[in-house]
Amino acid sequence: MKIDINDPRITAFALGELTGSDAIEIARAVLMDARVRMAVDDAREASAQLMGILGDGDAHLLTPGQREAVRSAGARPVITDLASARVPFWKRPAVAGIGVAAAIAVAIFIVGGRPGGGSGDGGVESPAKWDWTQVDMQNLTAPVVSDAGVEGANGSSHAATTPMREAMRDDTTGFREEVKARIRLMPEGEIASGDSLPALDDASRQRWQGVRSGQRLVVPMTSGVTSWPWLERSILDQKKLPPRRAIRIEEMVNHFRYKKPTMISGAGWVADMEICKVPWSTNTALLAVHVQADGGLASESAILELNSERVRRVRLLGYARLKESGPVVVSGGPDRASRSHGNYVIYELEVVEGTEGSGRIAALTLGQGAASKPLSVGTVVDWAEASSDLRFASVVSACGIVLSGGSTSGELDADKLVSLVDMIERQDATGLGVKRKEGLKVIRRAAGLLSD
Amino acid sequence: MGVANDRQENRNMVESSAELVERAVSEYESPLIGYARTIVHDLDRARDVVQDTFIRLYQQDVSKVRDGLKPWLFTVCRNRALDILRKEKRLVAVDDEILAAEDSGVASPHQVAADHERVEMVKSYIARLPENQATVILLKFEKGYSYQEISDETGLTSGNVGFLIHTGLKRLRALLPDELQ
Repeated sequence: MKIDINDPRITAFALGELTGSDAIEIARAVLMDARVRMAVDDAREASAQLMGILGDGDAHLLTPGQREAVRSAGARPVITDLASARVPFWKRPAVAGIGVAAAIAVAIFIVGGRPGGGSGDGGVESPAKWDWTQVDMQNLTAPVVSDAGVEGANGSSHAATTPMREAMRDDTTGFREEVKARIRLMPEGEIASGDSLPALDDASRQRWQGVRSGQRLVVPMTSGVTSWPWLERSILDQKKLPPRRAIRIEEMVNHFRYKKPTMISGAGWVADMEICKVPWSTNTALLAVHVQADGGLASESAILELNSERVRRVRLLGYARLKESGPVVVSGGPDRASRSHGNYVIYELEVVEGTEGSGRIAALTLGQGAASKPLSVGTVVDWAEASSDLRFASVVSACGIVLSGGSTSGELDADKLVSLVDMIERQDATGLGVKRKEGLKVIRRAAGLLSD
Repeated sequence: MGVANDRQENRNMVESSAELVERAVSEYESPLIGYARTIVHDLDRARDVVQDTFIRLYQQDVSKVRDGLKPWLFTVCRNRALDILRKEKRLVAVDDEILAAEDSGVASPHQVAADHERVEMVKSYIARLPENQATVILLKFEKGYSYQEISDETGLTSGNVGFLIHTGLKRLRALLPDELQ
């Protein structure tokens, strides 16, 4: 219906006095008819001015540019520009703090519960969605921390993060989408500085630890989701290398999906394990463990045992600790695992020379005791013979190692990264999906920026 | 004019997310900016927070948000404002000090006189309006009454109040000199 420009409802709408179907009708006219839009905006400006002079002076409005930005944001599916041009405050050095807001956001989960009901115990993601907009960025981007993977040390986290963990587990897709959308909305300065992300402890990045006989490592079951969208915005949009604290290898690897594991099952899990040579080193191997919930509520850990006669040292790629401890830490225990996404975990192993063909290197067990028959690997295949999943994940990990300035065994630099991408594109040309192709493009550009 | 809050009627009319956002802007723009300002202590930042809040509303399922629009907006606005505040912790502390220093004194006599003159000038233009228009304009913009409160105060129907404010505001804008607009 066409609205007359002299319709008093226009002024009532501008003053926030119109409700019900009248309000919807005028809102529709504002979107469809430039004359009505102008009349509403004019009435709004005039009323704010009058209130400012006659009233208490507190009637403030968005600027015309901001109002237009709000309207135009609805006209496109992906919002790419939120920050107004004159907002230098975004670019000031930010202080990453953990405090009242985080607690409030988490409390909303506790008090408000989940919109749409519970998730049940199914192995796949529940259709119930969380309202992620109610969670602040501090919580959304909290990293998953694994305490060196040693059994017994893992799984502790602040009690306040429990609802957050449950939400991540039950609505991983919604969680991923919300984080991605928010990172897209972030001002450039914030992306470039990374100051809003907690600093990671460099010493714990890819830290080597000696392998002892009988030592059992707990496999992390979940990852955060912040790193890759951050990387994309830095590299593709800003043509810059991302800040180091945005580089979380486990999140980069698990941004991508992998073939559902089939090798063993138990305790509500399915898992695969695979080992291959490291393409940038002659004396280390990459061990990939892929775990995914498989019906029921998985509550027990996946345990990895390394043969100390064949493996001298091990390091988990990613899962760096925070530099300063805070309440917003989501540890990677079994009750945190996503119901819809698996977790692809990569270890680098320093293999004892001359032990080829002399028994198993690693054994993986799902749950305690005899919950699953252990899955063993004993032969280290060449990287080129590994599965396309492991080859791809290893290149993503390599990119993370290089970008974070982490120590590497062997030769790993921008040129090597490009050569690995070339190899994958040649070898897996037909099997690469769109997401992986785009991922390789990002890695190639990252290598280009590193070279520059 | 349907000024009554009629949720049922609202529900019966299919509303798009863009319409919901437009309606949210009309109802909550100013209160949200005021609210955000109490957190971030800066008008420009508050505006950015509110702009962000409205843009996020597009991502919501209209049917889920519509009935709880106000709490949704204020919660998101608060979270965003606190996000910013946390990032700007040190700087805000400095700003607070500046703000406190600025707010600590009473406005200068010159400023008081200028404000008073401005108020009197606007009122002199309002006085040129027909009496019923001038009355409702003052109740609305000086006292901050809602249409319903003006209706209760004057005995006019809320439809009449809306009409008088609409025409009065239009006429006043034509009368006011540029420096007062």
